[in-house]
Amino acid sequence: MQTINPEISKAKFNEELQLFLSCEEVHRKRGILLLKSEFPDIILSFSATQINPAVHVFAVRINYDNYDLQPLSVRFINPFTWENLHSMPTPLMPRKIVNEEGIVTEYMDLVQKDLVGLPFICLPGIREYHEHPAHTGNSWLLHRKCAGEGTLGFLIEKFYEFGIATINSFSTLINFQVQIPNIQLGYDKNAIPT
Amino acid sequence: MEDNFDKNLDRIERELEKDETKLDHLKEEVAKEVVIEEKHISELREEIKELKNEHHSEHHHGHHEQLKLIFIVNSSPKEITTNVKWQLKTAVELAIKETGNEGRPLQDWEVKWKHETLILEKQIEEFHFPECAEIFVSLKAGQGG
Repeated sequence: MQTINPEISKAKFNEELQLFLSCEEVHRKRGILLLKSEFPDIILSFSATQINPAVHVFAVRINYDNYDLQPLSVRFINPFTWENLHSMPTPLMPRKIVNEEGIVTEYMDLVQKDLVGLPFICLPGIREYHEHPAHTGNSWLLHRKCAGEGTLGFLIEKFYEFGIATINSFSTLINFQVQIPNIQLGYDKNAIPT
Repeated sequence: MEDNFDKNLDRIERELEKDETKLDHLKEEVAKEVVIEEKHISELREEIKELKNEHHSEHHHGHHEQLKLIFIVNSSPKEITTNVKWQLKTAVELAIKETGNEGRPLQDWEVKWKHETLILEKQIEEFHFPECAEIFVSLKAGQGG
């Protein structure tokens, strides 16, 4: 529900949309396509163009309700029907966890399930992260207007960095019981961000 | 009659001597002027040569020292005319400032070109960027997950 003056959110929506459009070609070459932009939503599709054939990896609906008193909401959607997706292939956005010595201790997926069972990206600057009970100590207001964190441009870079840039192949697991190959994406472990 | 002739002859000879002396003197003066003018012309030629070299050097050397780069800071593009002798961080700081993305220290940013993370302390010329290379500057993700 929009609680602040919608004109404020709309102005910020337009400002960030124009910034995106000003380098749309750069984004397109990286596999980031704008599917729809109508306040309060921007729908983007992310594809891995570095592998052959290029593959659509995910699409998101970014919602500007109450922005930027509240952060942007990000939901994974079906790029054809625009319905919310209830599950995503894993790992979708792998992240390295390193200890104090800089040694990688594990790989975790930034995409987690929220309390209603929808996948969300567990990253500061995203509404679903800040609304999660586990993150009540990390208010959005600590991040808002600080080096662009939580802006559309920031989110696009993070989605690309974690979800697209490290994909380097297809990997196949064959399940002999059902005789259907399960094709997954392979990741360059060295390139996965921390 | 004879006397008058001799007198006239003497007078003309004296005038001739005077004129010859005057002519020698003028020749010396002209020779001095020629030396001075030749020296002056030579100096002017040297000056022209130096100015031409200086202009040539400025034109070419200056052209090579400047390099336009496109910094894409949190997806906002910004063209910066850099000097190849700058450390990369100088241009990155400028791009962050000019795109209004200030507020976090430089170590919180990641700078990439062609998927490679760049070392900010290196000079721009060390990366061999082409003109208008697109360099991505993104804020490192906060702790999540």
